[in-house]
Amino acid sequence: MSKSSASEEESALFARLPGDAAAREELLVRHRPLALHLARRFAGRGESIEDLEQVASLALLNSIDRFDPSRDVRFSTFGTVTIVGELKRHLRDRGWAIRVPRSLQELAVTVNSILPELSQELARSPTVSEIAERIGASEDDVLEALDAARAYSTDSLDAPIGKSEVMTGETLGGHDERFERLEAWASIAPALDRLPERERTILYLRFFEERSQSQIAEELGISQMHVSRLLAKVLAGLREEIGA
Amino acid sequence: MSATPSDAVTVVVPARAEHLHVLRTVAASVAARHRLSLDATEDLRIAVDEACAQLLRAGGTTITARMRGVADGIEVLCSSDARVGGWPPEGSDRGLATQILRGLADTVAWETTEGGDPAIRIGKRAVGSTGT
Repeated sequence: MSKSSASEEESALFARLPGDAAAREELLVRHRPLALHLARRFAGRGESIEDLEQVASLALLNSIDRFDPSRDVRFSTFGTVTIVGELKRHLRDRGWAIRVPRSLQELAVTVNSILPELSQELARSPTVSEIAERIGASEDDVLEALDAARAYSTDSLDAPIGKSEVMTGETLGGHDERFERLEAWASIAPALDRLPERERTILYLRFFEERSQSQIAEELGISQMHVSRLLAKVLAGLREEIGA
Repeated sequence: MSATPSDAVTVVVPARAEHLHVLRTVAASVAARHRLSLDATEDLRIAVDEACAQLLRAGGTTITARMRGVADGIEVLCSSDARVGGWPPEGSDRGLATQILRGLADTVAWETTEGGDPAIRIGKRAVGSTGT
């Protein structure tokens, strides 16, 4: 066989399949770096790199056997799709597609459950170190648990909330400051009018009544995380709408 | 490199809205280290978002947030590398963004950095400092 381009060489190897073990071995060696590279891209999701490499190598072998050289597709393309598919399926079957390790989920539940009593004891919202001390975890773990709770909370942003008794009375300080504030908010009154009542209520409580997020959470019967997310969402929405 | 260790954390992201969550998240993490309550931390998170959204309007290619602990809490200096003629924008001290920022943070200042970059400085107090 004369020296030819790599792809022609490869076509020749595939032509010797399925009977030729040496050709199969040669293809395996050639494409093994691709499999290992793809395996590394799925590292850090709770599965060891060795296991990922094994899954990828097996998928490579399967894709070599299943590749149809008569079709107008390069093997590297076909192999990549097959290997990535296998790696994803493996992670999903092992439950690691959801990237919150179970212990972190449990910790998030624990943190959420002690927040009300700790806040009541302190008569204010606790710090991360206070939470860590209470539940005997490290500050790092508490931070991660809070992030996990934020990312995976199943609260719907559109879920109905409890009845609130919002008074229209003003509790603010100086007249000028209050006037300035009203003026600024009045400039976007039409946009405010279009907000759902719950979102308007949260804005009102936070910026006019100057309630804390946890006070608002208690008043509306939702979690503080939920208040935070609603507040962020409604402010971002207003910005978009008024181009401010 | 400076020989003096500093606890300042500086994060630079592309000047696009979808990258601001990185700044929010890092700010919240730094805040927790400086004894801000969860309430204060969540407010700071939204304030950083608001400040950076204002800086996005100045244009530019990157948004930088420099966070550091101060005597009574944490300070975040958000800046943009945009070259703008007038900063802060006219009327911004009375505008809605300032009202929102004042509601969320303890101190708010529209500034220009030494390098001439438009910036917004926000401060939030920790637990135990005056005013909490």
